Amino acid sequence: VTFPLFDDPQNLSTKAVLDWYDLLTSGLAHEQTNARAILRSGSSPPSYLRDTLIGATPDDVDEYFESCQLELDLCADLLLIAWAEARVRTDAEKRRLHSDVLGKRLSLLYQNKETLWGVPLYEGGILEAWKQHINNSAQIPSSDKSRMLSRIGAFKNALILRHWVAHGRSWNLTRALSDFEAVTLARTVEDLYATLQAVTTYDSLLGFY
Amino acid sequence: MSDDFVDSVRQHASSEQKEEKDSAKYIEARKTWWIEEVGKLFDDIRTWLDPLIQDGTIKFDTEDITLMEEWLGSYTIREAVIRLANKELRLRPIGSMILGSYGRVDLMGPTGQAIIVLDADKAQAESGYRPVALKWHIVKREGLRRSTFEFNEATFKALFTDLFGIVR
Repeated sequence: VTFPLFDDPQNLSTKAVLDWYDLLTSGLAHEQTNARAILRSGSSPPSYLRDTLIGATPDDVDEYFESCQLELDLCADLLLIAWAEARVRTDAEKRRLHSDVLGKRLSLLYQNKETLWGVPLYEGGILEAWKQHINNSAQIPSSDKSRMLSRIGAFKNALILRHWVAHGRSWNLTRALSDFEAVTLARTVEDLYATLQAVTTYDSLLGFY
Repeated sequence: MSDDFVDSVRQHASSEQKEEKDSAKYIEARKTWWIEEVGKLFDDIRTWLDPLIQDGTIKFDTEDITLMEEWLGSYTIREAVIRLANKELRLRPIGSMILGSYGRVDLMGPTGQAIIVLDADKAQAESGYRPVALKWHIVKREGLRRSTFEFNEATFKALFTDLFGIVR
């Protein structure tokens, strides 16, 4: 019996990422409490705290652990967004081979593309094809359409963060980092999956991957 | 009500009261000790710089500042200012509740900053609740890691020239 970090790294679930995130968040909280107790007692800190935080005031300690938590959120965000992107792309690669309206629309995107990754995910790409399908669908009630489109739009906002982190944060992010807590982002990707699945149910299409 | 219960609550209350008294004594002793140690540090530095103070090359002054620390509360302590021509180096106490040490003073000069921390052994009732075995160290950051070096006359003079941007 082994205990790998993620049972199936090629089929990452939101829950697996959040479990990992919760474990590390608890660890950070524990270390912050430990560092504060050391400050008060005057005990000698363990080397990993001493090497990083020697000379730190209580406020410095709190600020340091807040920045650790922020970085942890960004790591979890990147895992969640990258996995969502992979899932949407894998679904599209299968779906484009089907002759329904959405399959045909996606199939057009793949024409004349040298690589599968050459197909844009959002602007003029896969998720735009989904949005067009939602707008044109006669089966999806109008009351559901705007909610579905806004959930896909929320994922587009998350892609801003993905580009910023994955490309080295070399420009100023236009949104506050506090908008991208891992738990919020997990909800965004789960909403995306649920939306795409609901579309396939309404229009009797191949289920979302 | 059983006697065991009464005894254990009384014992607990007595132990809590003793802890509170010890804690209050410790806080006062720690604060006084810290203020004195900063004063001694400034005395040492003034001695090391004496020839330059005597001939008027530099000025060494101290002024009162108020610090507010979690647990120790609010108190007044000295800050030192060394003036060289129209530039100054401030030696500002940051606090005594410092991770991995018993106090920190920041040196803020025209060309940079440095941190020195006061190492000591934990205070005990036997030492009048005052930390013992003191030694000041310079904290140096290298990448993500921080290491410490002894603070003495030679290392202070090296810091002094660095922080005033003096080329030797």
